[in-house]
Amino acid sequence: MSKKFWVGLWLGLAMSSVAAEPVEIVQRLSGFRQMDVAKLLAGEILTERGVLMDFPNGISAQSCFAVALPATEVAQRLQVWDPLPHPELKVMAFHALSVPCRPEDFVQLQLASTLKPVRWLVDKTLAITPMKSVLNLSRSEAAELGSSTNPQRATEGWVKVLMARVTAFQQQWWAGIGPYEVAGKTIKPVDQLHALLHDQPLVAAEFAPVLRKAGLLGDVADATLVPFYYWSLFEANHHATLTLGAAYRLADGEHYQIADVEYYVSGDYYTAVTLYEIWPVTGGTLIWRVDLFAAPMLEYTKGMERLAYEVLMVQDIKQEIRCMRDDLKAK
Amino acid sequence: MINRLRIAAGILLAITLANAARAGSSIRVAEELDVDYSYVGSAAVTGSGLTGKTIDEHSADVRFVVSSQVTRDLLLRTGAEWQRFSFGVPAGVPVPATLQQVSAVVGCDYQVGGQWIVRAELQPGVYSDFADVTGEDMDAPFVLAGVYLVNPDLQWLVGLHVDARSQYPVLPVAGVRWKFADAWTLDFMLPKPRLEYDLNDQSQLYLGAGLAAGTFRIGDHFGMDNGLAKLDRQTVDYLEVRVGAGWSYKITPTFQLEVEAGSLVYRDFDFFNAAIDYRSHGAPYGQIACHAKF
Repeated sequence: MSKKFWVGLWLGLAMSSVAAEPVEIVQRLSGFRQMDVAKLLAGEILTERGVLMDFPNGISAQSCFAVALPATEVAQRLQVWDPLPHPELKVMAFHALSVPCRPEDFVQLQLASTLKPVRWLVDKTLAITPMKSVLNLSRSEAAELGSSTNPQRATEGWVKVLMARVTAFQQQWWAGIGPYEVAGKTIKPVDQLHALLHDQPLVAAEFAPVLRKAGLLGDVADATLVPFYYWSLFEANHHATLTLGAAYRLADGEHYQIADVEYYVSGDYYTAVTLYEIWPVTGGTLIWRVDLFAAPMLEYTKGMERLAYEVLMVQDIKQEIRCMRDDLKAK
Repeated sequence: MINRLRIAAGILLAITLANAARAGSSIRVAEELDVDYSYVGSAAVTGSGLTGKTIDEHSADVRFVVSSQVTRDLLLRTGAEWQRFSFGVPAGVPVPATLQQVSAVVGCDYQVGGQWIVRAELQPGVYSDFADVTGEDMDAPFVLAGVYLVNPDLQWLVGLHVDARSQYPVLPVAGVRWKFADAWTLDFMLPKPRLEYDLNDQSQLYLGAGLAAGTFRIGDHFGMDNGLAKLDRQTVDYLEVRVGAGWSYKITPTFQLEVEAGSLVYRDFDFFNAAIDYRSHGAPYGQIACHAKF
């Protein structure tokens, strides 16, 4: 690990140990210079693009909002938030997973659909060869899915692949996550997650408590949090995308941290992690959110294109936060 | 003439290499290289009493721009462009054999508000027939444009093109990029508005138009040499409009090749100060282009 990361982490940890007001912490770690909790409670959502990363596949964004609810309730509900009721988010399925994972958890996964994004996923599934695919798969998964001959077989194949990945993750945590091997080069999602955090040392330091307890930073023996496991199917870039996620919540009194990690993504991007820091404030709860995202095409997206990509990413996040906030308010 | 071209090419190369050396391979720096060459077949030239003559055309454009991220919201753009139109002009046709631009590119992209990105770009350089280059051949057209990012599938563009030497010094610019179906995109952005169809992830077919325009100063003796003295030292607004179909192929994620053919539907040499105007219509053309990003 580079000197920049360790210096940043040390500085971050040193500073985070100093008792500070939530607004001061967010201002110190983000670019939000003007923060008014009253305005946030009234509905304002602050968003900004993250600083450009040295990690070529990475991109980040930050946001801040508030809701007039107790912090404990907000943290509990954000950890298990279901985006499915919001058609604007283009989520086609979202389902909690049992421990251990069971085939019934995937009963809602059905790829025999006329929806174009789903047809895209089916077409790409049927086109898989043992050595080549645009999808994020290991060689053995490519072999498994490559025998699919129709949407129903593709669905069955995906259920097997997802179940195997969930089981490996539930049993071995981060060490159980298999690589993506057939889309041109071998990519390890865990390496991508580490690279994202490594590039943002102040953010990594601030969220070190939850990331350690989740096993993403430091010693695996510290990993004591049991996450909320889920799978989802949603549209990204006009393509149906399957994800497996784990959302960890760490409480420190009424102060919470959540790390929601997509440890498997079927295509278009490699991985994503959403971090929430949640504090009680007068009149409600303040939420600072950091989104970190790794995708192959970002390596080639520079200049104005990257600027535009980041602007659009921030818009998507803002839309998702509006939906979250509406759900929180609706009880 | 050859010496001048060498000097111009030398300046272009020096700027390009300087930028490339500075650029490195950082994610904070984007380099764009666009190169195209086209040939337009013979087309009759008419206007101001001229009939029965035809001209053909070779044209080429090389543009290299480095975009460096200065702050979170600001990208600085520097680079160079060389564009040349060479016309096969028969005797007795008072049309310049060459119109050429050698210019620097200086500008910036800036995020304004939540959904706007504004581009300001100045292209100071020599815009001339390169018969006798003087300070009067210098020009600095300017573009100010804003892109409104509605969502990943829809973006609007509005802006202005300013060229103080042109007959029309300020021209409004507008456009839209709309991905209206899985494989279809209306990329109605000047100077190359297109309707695109994605064959697959690498390959695309398109129907579209191409606009090439510029304002150039003509040599001191151009008019006299062509029996029309009032064209000496004139400024000409050049415009050509092409309509065609093409195929583009992404050889790598950063390198794209395009092949295009169609018809030149309109060409205009407008010596507006001398009230002389020569036009051409209906000639086939073929074009090859490549676009690289580093």
